[in-house]
Amino acid sequence: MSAVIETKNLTKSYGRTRGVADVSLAVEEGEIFGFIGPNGAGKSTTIRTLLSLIHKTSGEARIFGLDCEADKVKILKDVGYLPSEVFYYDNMRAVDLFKYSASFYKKDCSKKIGELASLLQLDLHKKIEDMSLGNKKKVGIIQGLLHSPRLIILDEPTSGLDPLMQKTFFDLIKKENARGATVLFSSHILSEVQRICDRVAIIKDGRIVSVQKINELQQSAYKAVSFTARAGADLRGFAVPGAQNLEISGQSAGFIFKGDVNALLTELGRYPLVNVDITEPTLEEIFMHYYSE
Amino acid sequence: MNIYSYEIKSQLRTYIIWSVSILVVFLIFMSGLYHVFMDSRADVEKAYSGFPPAFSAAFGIVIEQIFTYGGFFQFIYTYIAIIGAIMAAAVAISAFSREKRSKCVDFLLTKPVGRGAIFTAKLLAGLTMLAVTNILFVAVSILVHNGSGQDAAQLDRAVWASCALFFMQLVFLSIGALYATFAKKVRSVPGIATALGFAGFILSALYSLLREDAIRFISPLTYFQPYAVFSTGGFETRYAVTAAAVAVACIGLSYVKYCKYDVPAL
Repeated sequence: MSAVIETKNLTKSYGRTRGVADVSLAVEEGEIFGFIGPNGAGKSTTIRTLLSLIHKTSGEARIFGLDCEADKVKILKDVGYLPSEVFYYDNMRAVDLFKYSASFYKKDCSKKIGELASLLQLDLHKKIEDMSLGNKKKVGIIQGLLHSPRLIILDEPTSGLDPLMQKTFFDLIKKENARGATVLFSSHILSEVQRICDRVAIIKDGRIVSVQKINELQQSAYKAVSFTARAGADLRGFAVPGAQNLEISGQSAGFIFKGDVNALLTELGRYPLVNVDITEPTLEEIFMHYYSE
Repeated sequence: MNIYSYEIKSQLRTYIIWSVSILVVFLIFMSGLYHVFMDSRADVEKAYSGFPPAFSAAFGIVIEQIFTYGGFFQFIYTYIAIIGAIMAAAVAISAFSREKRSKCVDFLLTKPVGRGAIFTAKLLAGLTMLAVTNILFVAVSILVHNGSGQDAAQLDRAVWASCALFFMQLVFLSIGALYATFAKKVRSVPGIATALGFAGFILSALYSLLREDAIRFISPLTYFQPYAVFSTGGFETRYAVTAAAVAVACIGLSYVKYCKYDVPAL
């Protein structure tokens, strides 16, 4: 496998303001690569640098082995991009936008436009400015995929899509991936990255803190645990290796846990429980894990 | 080619309105009012004698010239030029801020086309529109000249004098491009274009009042004076050179800015 996207110490700074620093990534051909971090962490800055929408301060950024700035035109022939905020020309109907978009790729995209519009249930003849946010997002998806790109870059793609349409969208991305497209999927929602990605890079404060396979991330992640015991139970003796931030309040306790779940269950079993919640950590909790290291 | 044709298509309606306005105003004044004006010379001169000199100067009236074909052309041109300046600025601002106003810069700049090529396509679209308007303007000017009983030997001067509009519009096109590429936000194309056009008019009125060369150098509406062509056969070289320098500088700076700027996330 070869890297479709490769960055080495990619840095973008805006004077004193941080953009991204020393971002080194390699997205392999054919994979769906998640890019996750809270808002403002540097996901969009990295993507915009890859697309030459902004100019890097230092480092290297290559797509298909070509330099992102010097070979931008060549690269963009095979890239489909869905920005997080979808805006298009005033007074334009969806079909006109797609025709205009297709005209840049010098190939007949009408069949693919029809297929995608039918799949996403989009009225092609409606003016884009009169559409709901969800439908505008569909317009963005179609214009990003209509030329069957080799690399699909999605920046927060699901905002505005209802759950059913999200599923359709994920199925579509998987289908594009099966066709051979590599996907860079940026999001701040861990569950959607877990749902679709093979590997994930976590970015925090402009720096990559970890690149992992999704299953490794899940294994290494903390669990959020809370439980309530019957009246009279004394929880002060509760202790299990791997528990952090333990807070006991009356008959209830909560903590973040990473460790042997059998030991956790054994310890919990010592108490007369009314309720137990063991949940997937939120993104913030995942980041706590990286802060603590 | 797709950006070029899209740009022209997008501006077609307003472009036609501007062009027709220029041609109709010119036609009405030069073919209709000119003869009435000439026939009423005594009354006009009497009325004029009651005006404060500053007032006449500000409105482009030079009594020594105005009763000649070239002088009347110059007088009418003062107003045609304002419309032309607003039109040219609007064409450029509209073209170069189109994606900025619609918040879809990302869309265009992630297509497989270089920023330089996009800039060039938009510039060519603007130039084409202005060129077509001015070809029609020159054609109408020839018709008016021939129809007003002027000496046929002076036709080449009438044609060249009519080109003043095109050259002046090139300057405003470049100023409009500069504004559109450097402004962070462009809220209203007609608003900004009108402001630029009237700023040009105020500077030209100031020059007419004070007759200071220094003011004329910063007054694009006065760079090309049709009367100079009617009286000497050509435009004044130093102002023509200034106009060319302003246009090249504005377009050059706009090009560099367009190609280099970091597109902010929304």
